[in-house]
Amino acid sequence: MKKVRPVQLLSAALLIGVMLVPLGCSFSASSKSSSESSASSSRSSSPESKETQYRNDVRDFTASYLKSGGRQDEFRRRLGDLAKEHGITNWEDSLVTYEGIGRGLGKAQASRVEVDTYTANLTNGDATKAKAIKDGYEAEKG
Amino acid sequence: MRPRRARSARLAAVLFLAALPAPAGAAAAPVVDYLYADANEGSASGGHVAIRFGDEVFHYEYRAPRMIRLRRDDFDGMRYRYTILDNRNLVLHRIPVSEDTYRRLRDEFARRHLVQEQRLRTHESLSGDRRLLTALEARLAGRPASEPLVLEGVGFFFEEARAPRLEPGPAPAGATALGVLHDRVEGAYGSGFVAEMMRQLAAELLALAPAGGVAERYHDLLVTLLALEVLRDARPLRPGSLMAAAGPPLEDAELEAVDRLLEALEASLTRLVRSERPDRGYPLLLGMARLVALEETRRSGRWTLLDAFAPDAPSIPASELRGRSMLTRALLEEAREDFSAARARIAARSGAGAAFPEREFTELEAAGNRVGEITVAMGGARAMRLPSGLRVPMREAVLAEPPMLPLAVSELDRYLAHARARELAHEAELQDLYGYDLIGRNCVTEIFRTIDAALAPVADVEAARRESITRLGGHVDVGGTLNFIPTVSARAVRETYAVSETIEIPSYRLAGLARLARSEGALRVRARESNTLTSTLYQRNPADSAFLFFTDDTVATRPLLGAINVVAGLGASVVGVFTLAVDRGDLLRAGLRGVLFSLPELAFFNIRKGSLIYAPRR
Repeated sequence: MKKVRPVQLLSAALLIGVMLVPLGCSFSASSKSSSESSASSSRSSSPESKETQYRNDVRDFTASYLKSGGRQDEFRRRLGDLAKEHGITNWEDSLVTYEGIGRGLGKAQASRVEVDTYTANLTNGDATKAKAIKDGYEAEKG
Repeated sequence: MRPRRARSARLAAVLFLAALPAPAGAAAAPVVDYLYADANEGSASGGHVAIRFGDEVFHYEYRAPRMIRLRRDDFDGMRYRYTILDNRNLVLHRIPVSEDTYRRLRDEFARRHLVQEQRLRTHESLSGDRRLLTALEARLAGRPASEPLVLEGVGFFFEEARAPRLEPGPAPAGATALGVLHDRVEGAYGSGFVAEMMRQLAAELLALAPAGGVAERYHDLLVTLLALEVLRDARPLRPGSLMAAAGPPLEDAELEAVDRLLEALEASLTRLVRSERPDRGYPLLLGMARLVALEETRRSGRWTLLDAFAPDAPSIPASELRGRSMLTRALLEEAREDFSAARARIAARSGAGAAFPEREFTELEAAGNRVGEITVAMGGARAMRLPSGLRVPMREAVLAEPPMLPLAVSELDRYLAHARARELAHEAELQDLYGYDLIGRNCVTEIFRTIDAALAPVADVEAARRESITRLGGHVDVGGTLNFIPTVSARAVRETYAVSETIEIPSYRLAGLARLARSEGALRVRARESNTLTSTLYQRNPADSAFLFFTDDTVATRPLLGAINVVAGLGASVVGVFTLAVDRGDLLRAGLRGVLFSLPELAFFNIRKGSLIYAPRR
């Protein structure tokens, strides 16, 4: 039987090692949140599409938050993180935020009392913002 | 049920996003895409998979330490990363589904993403508690903190963060944008409003109990207090806060738009000062910095923007740019187009009485920063920071001496021990939920588990299988199969699900080859672009291994070219030994990796394709 030379053994080991490499997945370049890379991300979407994406994100977040429960302060802080991912830091000045909250309440099938509580806590008596929540809620409930 | 063979429509030509229909249009039946990015060296050397719903792409990534993280990206961003920068081919298997299935799948991925993000933020909050208490302990012991606290937005106005000063500083000379804002705030809420709010917040800060979540509240209070101090004293922006390059001159129509932006931003900040948001300090600081930049824009007649690059933004030396002049010019051209489009959007959104269009303004800042950065770097003055380092301007400042909480040393030690225990317990919980496993829990397995969970919310394997067959045309198993390997999973999807179409998006290099072959002739292009020495499409990326021939576009000669690549890798390794002291082992590592990634080529496999440091998106 022909003797296996060390070089051949080494090559075989390397080959097996390389063949195993393809099992891996992509890894995050850093632990940064997506908000930190949002400014450099694609700008090809239309402004309407970005607005819709933001509104839908607020909707999904609100629905998820309502189901898991939590304090209003916490809700505001997490909403701030989410808005930053969309290039918005002063989210209270955007009516889209309130429409998204309304839609989230609708998606989570919030009760009338819950809707009123969120509206009272988040709008500070601003009728325009309250209407945006109501419109979003009704649109989602269909 | 027998697997259904898909009708495969292979689009070989250059196919860019603009030509690629997004799934789930309003009128068309919804479709879901299963994405497979093929192998290359570097991140995801074994390929990667994702699932696409319209513009949204969900995919699981490995994240240190040994965790699998669900990420959501926009499709164009993912295409840019994988097909352009990573130079990989992307394959989309398109699966038509019902409205209900589409919604179930998308909602489950979105839900899991939100839940995981929430858990990671909770962990960050627990780590923050431990860092704060450690920093306070270090301060009591009179030594610097091992992990200094960092406050975002504060660096626009302070060199170093510190405890707020409740006594007013010297009045600024002349009228300033922040002075005007201060007067407006006091006019709206009463004289002394800012000082009174500062007193209340300072009292709250100094009385904080070190319970769970204390670091977030401490951070919020401190940043808000410093923001109010900036407002009260109308502090000037720190040098270096603005982009180094002067922006383009304002057009006539933009002069009025800038006035309206200033008015809208002032009104917005006035409301923000009295907001109940606990974290209003950072947006207030950023807004005030933008106000100063806009005031300067009006004064100078040229766009003046905040520097939006992260302090650790990746960059390449000016000397490297010289060999990439074509790419750099293309990058500049694209940035200019984006900046022009952003200016038009800002002008359109800044009508009389309109709210400050912050999202559009953030885009204007990002595009303007790209233009300025490339312009300055092309002048040869300094390195060029890459667009991946852009973000909403944050300008952090280090808090060297954190204000003390009302705690004795023994109490501090006790709370610190609790904080450490909470952090460790939560870390163990995260590992349990999201711990990475090469075979059992990776980017592939989690996609199919999420699909199963979406289709059969109660964990029932048989129900999930039945629903999957009914709704997707089949069921992809991950247990006891090789489907955990990205490329195998893509084949399984094509053969199992009711795939209506398979679309291939060629890598940057392959698309470039096809384009050049049409204009210059295939043979000539093939000869020139076959190797790294004469290629015009590829310039060596320091992150790539050492190699000579590309083998991703050839099969018959792959082993021969692979053998030459092995020799090239060995040669680079030998030279690398001699340059060890100069390049700290860079060439040696590139050579050894060159050998490693050439070995599969001997057996007709291709992994390495070369990659790019930067390139235009379009």
